[in-house]
Amino acid sequence: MSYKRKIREELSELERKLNERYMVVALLGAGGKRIDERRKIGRRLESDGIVALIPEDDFPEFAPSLIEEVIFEKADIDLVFINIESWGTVAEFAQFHDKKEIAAKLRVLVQHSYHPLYGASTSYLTDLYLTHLAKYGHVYACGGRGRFPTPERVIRILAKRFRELKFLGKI
Amino acid sequence: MKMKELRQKLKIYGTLNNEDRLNILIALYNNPGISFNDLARSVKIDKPLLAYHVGLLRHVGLVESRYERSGRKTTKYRLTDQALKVLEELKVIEKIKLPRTVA
Repeated sequence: MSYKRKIREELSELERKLNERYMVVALLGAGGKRIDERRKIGRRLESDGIVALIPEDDFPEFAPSLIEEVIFEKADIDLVFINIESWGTVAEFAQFHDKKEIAAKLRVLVQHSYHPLYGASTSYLTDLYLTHLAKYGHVYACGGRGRFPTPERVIRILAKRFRELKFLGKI
Repeated sequence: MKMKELRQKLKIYGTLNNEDRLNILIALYNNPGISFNDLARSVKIDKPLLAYHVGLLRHVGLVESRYERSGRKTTKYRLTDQALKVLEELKVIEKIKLPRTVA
């Protein structure tokens, strides 16, 4: 038996035992001290059995702005979560939001006060969220207080449901 | 086997289930300590995508990288012991006809 076939068989057997599919997500967000929050979410996803990549940690060979577009467009990443919490992440969202291949994988997390349906902001950025929401969907209001969930809750719920859909062959 | 171990194995086999990543592992087996640029030349994968594949392989524990000073400073890439074990289990190594060289 060829080793490629053996890998596929072993993978199928593991998926059958776990009732789970192999899944890779990328977590984008603010750098600096706030990266620790993403690392924490990443560890939680890993314990759920989901590979969670953080570009600054996992692709240190190049600056993220030079490689992310190609990676998210062409690599076998299932979902790209972007928590818009800094000007850098605004720039990333603006770069990716209308690239068809990336937009389909993109899950956008925004502070509820800037969300086009829940907030009162009339900024250009909120308007861009509305455009993205109308065209692709997947713009989620976060907050962590009151009725708005934390980014971690949104990410884990969506990632796990997406994995179930993959397992059932619906994606 | 415990759930945690099964999930780790799933991550490894899921990562291996890709032609490009297998080629990277074979290239690293043949050339331990190779630089990123030499690896890119060897496997003929665009550098941004190679950075992704290497990052994923490193993330699941199959590849390690180290910043070394040997003449000029470069990051060198190697297979981990875990990767060698998996490749041996899968009998990948015995199918590789190329002689192993040191970079």
